[in-house]
Amino acid sequence: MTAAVVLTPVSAPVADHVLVVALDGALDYTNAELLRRDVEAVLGAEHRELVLDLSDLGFCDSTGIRILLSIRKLMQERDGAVTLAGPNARLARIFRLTGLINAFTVAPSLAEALDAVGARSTPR
Amino acid sequence: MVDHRRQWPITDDLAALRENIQRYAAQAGLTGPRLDDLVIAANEAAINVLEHGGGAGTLAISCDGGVLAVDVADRVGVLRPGAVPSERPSGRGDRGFGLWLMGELCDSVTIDRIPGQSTIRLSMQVGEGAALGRSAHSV
Repeated sequence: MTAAVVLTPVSAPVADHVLVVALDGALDYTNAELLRRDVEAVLGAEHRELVLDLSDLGFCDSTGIRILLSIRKLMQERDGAVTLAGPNARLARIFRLTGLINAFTVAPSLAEALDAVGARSTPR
Repeated sequence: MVDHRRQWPITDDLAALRENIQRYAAQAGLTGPRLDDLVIAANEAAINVLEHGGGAGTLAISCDGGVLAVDVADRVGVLRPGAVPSERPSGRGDRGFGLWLMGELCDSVTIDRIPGQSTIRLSMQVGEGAALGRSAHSV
């Protein structure tokens, strides 16, 4: 199996309902299901916005895309949304090609993703 | 330029397989997005073997006459020539999606079938003409 993608919760100066998680590694057929379980494990009841920082994710295949879509569904079921931040050129290409880019808010960097989420959120 | 054929078994160590393909293809002269495209496509073909092709097979790579070819063979032989969809399938879960993606990423995708074995061949031109041939396709 490809080494599991490492999840690191990121403390970001945003509202309590926003969870920011950095992903590090390669997401493929052999470890994608594990990522979904790991994301579910770090999601709290209060989280409505999930920001995935992909800047250290080196690879994502069609199975990874399927898992990202299932994570999106998970968030939609709680009236939430997923933002993907900082995909590298390889990821951005496959996201465009597969149409995934239309299913998510995709921001070029984590900072821009947080701006977008902040603009969507009601002020505290 | 490399011209000798290399071959690896397809196992669940996809990361190692991708590294092997990347190294060979880079030495053969494939660079940039086209190198990425081949690695993604070959990974999809390997997934197909793991998921639908009996779970075992081989991936061979060779470079001949300016064409880099990746041959991914299963031990089932169900996949038929002409199975590559030209339009993106709506369902992301089926085998057609990976095949469609390979067709989008590579210069050509062909399937050969003999009893008990289907082989997907992914081809990429390297060197002169390669960039020209695909520039209209790059996203």
